[in-house]
Amino acid sequence: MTERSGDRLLETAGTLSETVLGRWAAEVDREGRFPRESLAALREAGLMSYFVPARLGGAGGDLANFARIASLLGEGCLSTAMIWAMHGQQVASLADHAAESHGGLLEEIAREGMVVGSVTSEFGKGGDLLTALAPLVAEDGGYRVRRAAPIVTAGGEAGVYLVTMRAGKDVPTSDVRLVCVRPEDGAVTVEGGWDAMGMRGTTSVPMKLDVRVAAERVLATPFRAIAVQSMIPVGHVGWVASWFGAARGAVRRAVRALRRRAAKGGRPLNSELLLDRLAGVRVSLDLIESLLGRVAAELDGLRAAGAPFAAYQDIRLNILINNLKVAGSTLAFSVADRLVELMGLNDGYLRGGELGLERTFRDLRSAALMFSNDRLLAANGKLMLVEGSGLSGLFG
Amino acid sequence: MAGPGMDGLGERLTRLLRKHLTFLAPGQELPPEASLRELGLNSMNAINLLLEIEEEFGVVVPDELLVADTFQSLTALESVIASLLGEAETA
Repeated sequence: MTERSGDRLLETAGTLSETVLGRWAAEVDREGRFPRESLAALREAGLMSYFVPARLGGAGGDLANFARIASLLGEGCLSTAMIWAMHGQQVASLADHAAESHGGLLEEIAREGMVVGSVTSEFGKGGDLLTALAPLVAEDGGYRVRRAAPIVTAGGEAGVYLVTMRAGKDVPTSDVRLVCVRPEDGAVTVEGGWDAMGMRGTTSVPMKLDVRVAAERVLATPFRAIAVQSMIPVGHVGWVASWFGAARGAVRRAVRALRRRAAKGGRPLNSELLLDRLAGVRVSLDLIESLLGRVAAELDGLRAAGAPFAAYQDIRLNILINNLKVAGSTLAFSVADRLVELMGLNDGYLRGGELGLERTFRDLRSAALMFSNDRLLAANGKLMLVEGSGLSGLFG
Repeated sequence: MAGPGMDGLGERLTRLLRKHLTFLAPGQELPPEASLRELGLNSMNAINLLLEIEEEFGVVVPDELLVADTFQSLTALESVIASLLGEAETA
């Protein structure tokens, strides 16, 4: 991606966030429906092919700009930003690990801009991304993919799903493969609704899959490598960038409102308490942005250098990537929480207020829960105990 | 492999290993040379296993021994722990 095309994408994302995403965000939240107008606008602007390599018709973008775009989108509508970021996670996984075998699919994504969904959740396995219970079963030279998933973001709206499946019934649950499934392959059904406190536009619904796919639909690279090298790092950067954007947007709106009101003879701006609270949320924003930029730059360095898998298994890097998610989710929510306090009942707490703070608060409450911080902190604690060892690359 | 005073090392290790080996059926014998990875040991539960071993035997496995070879099989693990126990005894 050239600097100029990167700038153009950023400009487009900023404009769309204000004119389209921001316009529909309240309705999408109220009705708990998929933000189709916003996704259509992103598709039309070519943003759905951000991670598709340039030779296959995409932007071939890096993580630094991915984060900037997700932040801009998050300012307008966090549900849309999250759907886009998670789509980016999937496309990056394909681009990094299946650009040769699935080049046609990547070209199609660049051309059509359909959402690529992710099916990794599964009943009975807890939140462990790296394991899968339901096995691939050989059938007519291809495979039967039959399984349920409790939560699929953009479920029922995606044109392709990347589904984790155990490689076979006689292999460990950690031997996982990623399979491309399309709605037209067979029974791909939404089994329930998504009536959540926040992130209501993500339509993260339960689904059932029962399809037969050709053998080529199974990615050759083991899922663990895809997850460690692409899906987890790209995901954490994209999610945190989206949350950061939502928090930054809320602060901007609050500051504008404060000045407008003061100018009309309302609450004066020289209150020390107010200034102190305002300055405090900026500290949190700057901390997130700084960690986000640092992690994105380090990952971009690895990606540009074509670093081997072992580099992504480095314990220090994994602790850092986990901490980005833990810190970003906690700080972004605390910004929304403190803004509600700062703006008070009328502008902060009431539904339907022009600042939308109450929505941002509910949306960001989810941040610590998805890919649970508790789990990440437990993992980090364990990793720290063996940080000086070669244990990370043990079973890559 | 097991020297005097180390009777049962293999059994004790097998007992600790068993719960991390999702592909070893209850009651099924653990072949000493079988790949622990193929039996379901992954890097995260290898860390749990390590901490349990250190508690059970009162030894600390040094960083330079925390490598794939150590966790290859029951035999490999047993030999590392036996040598650490030996060092502890002679120290």
